Amino acid sequence: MTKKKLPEILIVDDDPMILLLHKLIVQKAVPDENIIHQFEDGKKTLEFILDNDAHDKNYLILLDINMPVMDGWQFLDQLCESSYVSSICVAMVTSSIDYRDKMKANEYDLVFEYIEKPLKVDSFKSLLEEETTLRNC
Amino acid sequence: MKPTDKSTIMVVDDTPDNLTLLGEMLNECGYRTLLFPRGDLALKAALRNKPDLFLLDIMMPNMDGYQLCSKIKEYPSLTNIPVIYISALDDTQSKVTAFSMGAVDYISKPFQKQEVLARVQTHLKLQKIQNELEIYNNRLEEMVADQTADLIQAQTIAQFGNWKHNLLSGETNWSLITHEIFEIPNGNPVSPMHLFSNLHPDDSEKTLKKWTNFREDGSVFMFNTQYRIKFNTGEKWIHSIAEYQFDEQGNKTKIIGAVKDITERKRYLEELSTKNQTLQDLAWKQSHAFRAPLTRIMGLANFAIEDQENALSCDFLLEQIRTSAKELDSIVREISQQITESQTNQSET
Repeated sequence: MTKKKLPEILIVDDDPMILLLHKLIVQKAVPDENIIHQFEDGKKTLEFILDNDAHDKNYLILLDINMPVMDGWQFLDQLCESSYVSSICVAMVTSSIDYRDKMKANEYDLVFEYIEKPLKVDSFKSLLEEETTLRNC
Repeated sequence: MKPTDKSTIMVVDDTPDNLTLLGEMLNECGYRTLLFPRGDLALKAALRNKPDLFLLDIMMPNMDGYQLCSKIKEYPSLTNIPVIYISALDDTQSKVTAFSMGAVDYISKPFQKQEVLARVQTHLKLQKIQNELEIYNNRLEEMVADQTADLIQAQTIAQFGNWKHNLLSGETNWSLITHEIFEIPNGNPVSPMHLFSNLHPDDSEKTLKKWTNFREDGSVFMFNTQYRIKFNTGEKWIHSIAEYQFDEQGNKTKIIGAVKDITERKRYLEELSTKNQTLQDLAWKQSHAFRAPLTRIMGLANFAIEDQENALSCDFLLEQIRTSAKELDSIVREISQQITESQTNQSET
């Protein structure tokens, strides 16, 4: 049985405590710390993706919406306008319970899941499985 | 044959015997009589004291019966009093002349007592009914005028304009308020299409399409829409409603319409909608402000329960939970303070 290649996990949130918590949760499912990256806004995330863009790169992004510098929507818009070759899947992980945010998230092809904070280990494991399935489709 | 009330009959005849005979005959039946041998004297007396009926001889010296009748008809106060001729002239021409002068009846001499009394009574009754009808009509006219005035006042208060278009004659009438709303001076010729002059480009197509449907589609009986009209002074929002009026055979005869200037209402609704949106955004913003520390607390608590490897110390987790709880507390306090300030400002205003 060949082991499926895990995506690199990009955790994007402006709240340092949430960043720490999400990192610990992700670590429970993905023990390899080298594939976990943390960003405090969309701009830094976008720069990282474009700097490391390659055909064999797979990213699973846990994206917050409300952030300074570049928020989640601006990040998605700029990412869509960029030409990249990596495989990218986005899960919105947000404290927003505004139905309009959920509706807006549905408009982006890149977004495959919308999760209300706090993230739990089980829900992250499901995300990971879903992402793998989508990528291998 | 007794009259129900004591009516006054004025008898004019130059023959004293006839006067006496007619006077006695009428008095016996309960009528009051005023007897005159000459037309001019009778006219003067009638102007002072109106009788209920005239009984006139035709052939009299100086002023004959025709001339007297013609004089009576000249005075508005006497013109409606019935005149009966009583004459020896029995030819058709005399009778035709008598009726053309405004007489209601003609009795030929020699007369029969019963006939005279029957005709007098009949014409007094007719006159009474006519008088009552006139009073009733006047009252009805007063009521209609009163109600029309009320309606116009109510429409003025509500700033409702109305209009009608006669489909048979093509004539269109606008009320004063309609003229005011569309800023067309009262008296200027108008048609229903003046309701759509200078339509706002965004409303033009949809409004005219609706009007065309109303006018041309046999199954559409009501026009009801809101649109903007451009004026030199600015633009107005108009609410326009129109319906057909039908005759007994079901044919369309008129279009009856009502218009109202709803600019203020629209502006108010727009303001209300903006305020509502601001309030909604504020509510979402507040809920997000609440959710941020709350999700942190929930996340930390979840982690404390699930963290069997003790990746984070218990002290650290509790300290983080306390920090988030304090943040939540300060948000609640800030909101309470804002509400209190807003209430104070409102009561001061």
